Amino acid sequence: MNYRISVAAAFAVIMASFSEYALISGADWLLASMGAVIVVMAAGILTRLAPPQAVIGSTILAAGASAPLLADRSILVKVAGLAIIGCCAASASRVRLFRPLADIVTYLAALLLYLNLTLAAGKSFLYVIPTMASVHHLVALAHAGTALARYSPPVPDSKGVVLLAAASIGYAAVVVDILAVRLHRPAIAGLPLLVIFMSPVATAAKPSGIATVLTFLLAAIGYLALLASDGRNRLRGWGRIVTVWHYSGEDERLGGADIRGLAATGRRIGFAAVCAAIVAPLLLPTLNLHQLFSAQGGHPNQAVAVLPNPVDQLHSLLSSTRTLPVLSYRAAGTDQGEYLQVYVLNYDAARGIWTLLPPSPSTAIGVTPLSQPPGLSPGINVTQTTTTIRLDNVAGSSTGYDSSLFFLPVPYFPITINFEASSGDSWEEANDSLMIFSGNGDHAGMSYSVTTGKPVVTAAAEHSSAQVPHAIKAAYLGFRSSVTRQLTTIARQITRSAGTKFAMAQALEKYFQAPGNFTYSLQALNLPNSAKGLLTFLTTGRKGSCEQFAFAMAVLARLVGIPSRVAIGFTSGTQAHQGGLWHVTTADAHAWPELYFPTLGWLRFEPTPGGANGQGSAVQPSYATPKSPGGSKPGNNHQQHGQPGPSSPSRRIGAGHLRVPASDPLPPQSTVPIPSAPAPVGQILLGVLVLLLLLATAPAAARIISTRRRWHSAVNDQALARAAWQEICADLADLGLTYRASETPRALAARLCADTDMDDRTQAAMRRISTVVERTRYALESPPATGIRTDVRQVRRALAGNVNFPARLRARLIPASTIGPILRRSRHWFGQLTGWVSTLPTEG
Amino acid sequence: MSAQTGHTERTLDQLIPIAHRISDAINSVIEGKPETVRLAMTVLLAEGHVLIEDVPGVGKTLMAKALARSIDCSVRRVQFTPDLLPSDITGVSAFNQELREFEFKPGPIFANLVLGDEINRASPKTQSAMLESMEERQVTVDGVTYQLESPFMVLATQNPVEMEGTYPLPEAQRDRFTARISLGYPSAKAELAMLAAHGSHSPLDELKPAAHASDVRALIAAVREVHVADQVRQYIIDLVNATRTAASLRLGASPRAALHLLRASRAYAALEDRNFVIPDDIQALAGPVLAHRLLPTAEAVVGRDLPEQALARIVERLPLPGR
Repeated sequence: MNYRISVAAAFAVIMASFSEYALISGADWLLASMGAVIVVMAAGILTRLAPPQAVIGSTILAAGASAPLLADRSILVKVAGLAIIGCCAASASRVRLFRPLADIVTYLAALLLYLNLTLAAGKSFLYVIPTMASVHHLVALAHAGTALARYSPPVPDSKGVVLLAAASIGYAAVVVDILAVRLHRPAIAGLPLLVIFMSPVATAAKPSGIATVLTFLLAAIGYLALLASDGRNRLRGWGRIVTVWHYSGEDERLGGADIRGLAATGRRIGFAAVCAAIVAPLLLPTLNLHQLFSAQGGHPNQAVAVLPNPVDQLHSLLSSTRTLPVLSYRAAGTDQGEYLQVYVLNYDAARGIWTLLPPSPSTAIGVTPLSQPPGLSPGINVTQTTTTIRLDNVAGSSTGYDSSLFFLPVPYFPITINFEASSGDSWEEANDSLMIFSGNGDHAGMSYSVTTGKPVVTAAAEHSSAQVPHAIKAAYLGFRSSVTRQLTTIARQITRSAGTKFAMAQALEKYFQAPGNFTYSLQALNLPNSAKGLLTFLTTGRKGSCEQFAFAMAVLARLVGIPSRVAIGFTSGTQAHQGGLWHVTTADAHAWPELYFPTLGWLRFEPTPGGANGQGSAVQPSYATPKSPGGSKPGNNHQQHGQPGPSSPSRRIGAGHLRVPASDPLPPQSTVPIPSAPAPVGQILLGVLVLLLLLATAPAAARIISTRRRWHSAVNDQALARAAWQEICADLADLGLTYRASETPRALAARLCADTDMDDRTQAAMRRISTVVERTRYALESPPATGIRTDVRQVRRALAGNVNFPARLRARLIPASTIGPILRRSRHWFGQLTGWVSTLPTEG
Repeated sequence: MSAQTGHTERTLDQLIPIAHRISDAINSVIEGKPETVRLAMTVLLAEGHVLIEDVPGVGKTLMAKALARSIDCSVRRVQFTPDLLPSDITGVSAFNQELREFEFKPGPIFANLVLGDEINRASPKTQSAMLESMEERQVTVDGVTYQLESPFMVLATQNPVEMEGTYPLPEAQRDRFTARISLGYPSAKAELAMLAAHGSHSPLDELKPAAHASDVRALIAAVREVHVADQVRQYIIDLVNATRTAASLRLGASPRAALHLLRASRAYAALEDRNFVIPDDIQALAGPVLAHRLLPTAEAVVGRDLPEQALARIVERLPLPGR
């Protein structure tokens, strides 16, 4: 039986499934899907075995998979389970209908058993047989996976997503297997493959250009391999003729006529057809191939529930000409305002931008107490405030930050939350960022009260020597750009006099807040949100909105080793009168950095200038200013401590967003020299050079190591003789001197002595070697092999003297004895997979 | 080896000089053909039979006679003709008037060395009578079986040119010959020496037996003990199998051929003063031992691709086992 086409079909599905990388992060889903495909392939092979094996196999699989049905209390369900098993068992009969039914049951049962084993083994009977509990677990996982599908890709590969991916790719593999192998229609099997390949295109996933081309090539290779394998299979059926003298033995090579030539011709025809298929569309003017290879894998405005883009929303709120009320709140027990956090952003090093942290994993509010804030140690005092918030109705959405997922504005960090007008919505809290969100988008007029805590920053906490946890370091310290070195230099210069991390953070904030250093301007909203734009902002532009300030400080903090993230939401807004309600409008939309300190957790900082020439309602937190021993505050008249205080009514209509004219440059007080010569190129070159050097020396090193091992492992005379002969053969291969596998030691020695330029001593050495090897191999007693290593060395020198310098160099650097077997093996495997091996040039 | 042959028998080392003496004796008659002589000796020690096939006048009969003379043993010569009957070879039971009973008169096959000249001229019936006794080493006449003496070797000559009125040996019969030897024309120098030596008198007449039949028996027994390593046995099997799957051959070598090759390789190794067989021996013997048993395909015949050439290609490409 020929399994090649089954393997090719599975290979094609696996290759196509690589394109899902844009949808799901991580690698678990890929491994699980590969397993599913292999299981489906095995099930397919099982269905095509001879009837007794196929029937027994499919009945066993069906019985295993329908175990939960049989265990069910309902008689009807039990009967259904028995019917499935009976159908498989009945496929042994002559009734033809049962066979296809049994085949389909076999596929699905195998897939179910596989998914159950990988994802719900703990709840299964003996880890293998599914039970009601394991099936319920799988269903729950599938629901969790579907819930995650609302988010913008790539979604994290939680177990639910892995289940969905493995199941869907497994089902596609079933269809491909049935079409390509059972029905012999591999061309049509391209359709399910296309479904797998196209699924990222139908979503908002944005694969990069190279990755798109790569996944396209992988999928194409898989499909072409399937077609080629099928073509080869068909052609093999042609030339089977009965011959008189050869009989069909166990060895396939003996059976039938030699049709290798015919098969090779068939492959060449197939190859030409594939080439034509690729070239033909280029000649058709109506087809635009550029779309196929374009970098945009999908359109961002697809009608799929996606995570909002907080930066875009902030832009639209700030650049809006109308100022609309968003919410009002009252903080009990204090007359200070609260920054209201909506979104938390982290830097995505892979994409080079700041993106919303996916709100997963999350916990349903009301079921469990709210999560503890990350990093806050129990010894730190916390001031608690209860804030009652009422949302206004803003242009059809509740806060202006609208999306299909609604994120609630709350001060950081929430301890308890109560929804006064219970609308029946389910609220969830993201475990990591403590964002509170709901799947329902319309919450206009909703009221809720939230108790929040703020750590009291003491000098001891500032100087704490506790280490940042690895998880935080891994998630919140990454930054990658072509200008990292310049930015690092700037960050170091700003913080050079700071002793602790906390002092560094204070120095960074002071740098942004220092009068005249930076200008607040909403016109700079269009500054590119990239590392280069950041460098421009820090060095030459020095003009930006809260977004630039927040991102700049977050990046600089990361570069001096402080974990950072960016929060987007609202400032505390303005208070109508002392003790009155706080009103937050769209003009109070704001972005600010949050830095992480061990024992304190995430702390808000405020690099954006406040007041009339800045973001009107922005206030610096009290701990952000260094406490000088003299008790004097740094002389910064822009700084506002505590609450902004009752301000003129004009501020409430957006005085904070005065359009600062572009012709109002303030000379920068402290200038930071721009480091020149971008360095990473050099480092990359060096890395590439080292890699190349390693690659170049690897074969030579492997040859030396194999020689050493050969001699070291030779403990007796026989092993010495064997090692000597292997060495001579390897040397001949390396030097490019001919050596036939049929040559006996004696014949080889005679030929070398006759054909090559050897002195008498070397000839004697060569003869000694051949005699020892010959007697070791074929005589009753093996002779002593002392001194054979010296003889081998002498012969090697003489042989090397017979070839020119380039050949000697090649023997040293790329020894054929090392590379040859690797090439042969890879060619063999490639040939096994696709059957194209005969079209490649082979040795001999 | 010596332990196995026992203290009463002579060791191979002691016996090999005798074999060399026989070879030297033959070489003194046949000029410039030491390889052919060695092959004939190999077949003798391997208890086989040799088919000498060549054009007329190159010394086929001389070769056979020289071998027969150099050993002090019984030699019989049969000139095969179309009217030769099986009983002319095996012998007949004649009625003895005096004893009033049938008496067996042994034919020429009852000898240590039998020279069958122009074997293809006899009828198939006669050929098969001889070939049967070659294989069985016994003759059955009137229900009585007579064993043939050891050593027993048939040297049959065959003329491949003159085919009219002949019965070429069928494949099954050719398979019984251990080796086919072809003498070929001598070199110019050897031919000159031959003219000088054979011009005035026949050196064959001066040839004295170099060994006794018992020596040859001891030699044959000693040769059986020559060591054959597993790798060499495997090589023989590989080689024989390769002839069965070769594209240009219609009929490959038989299991009997493998057995003959093994025996011959032992003798060949012994003649080279070696008590173990090496693949070189197999390679050297592959042509003489296997080539006459192979049948080319029709395509190979048209393309003048002789079995010898196909065999040479196989030997050149077949990898040694256990490298």
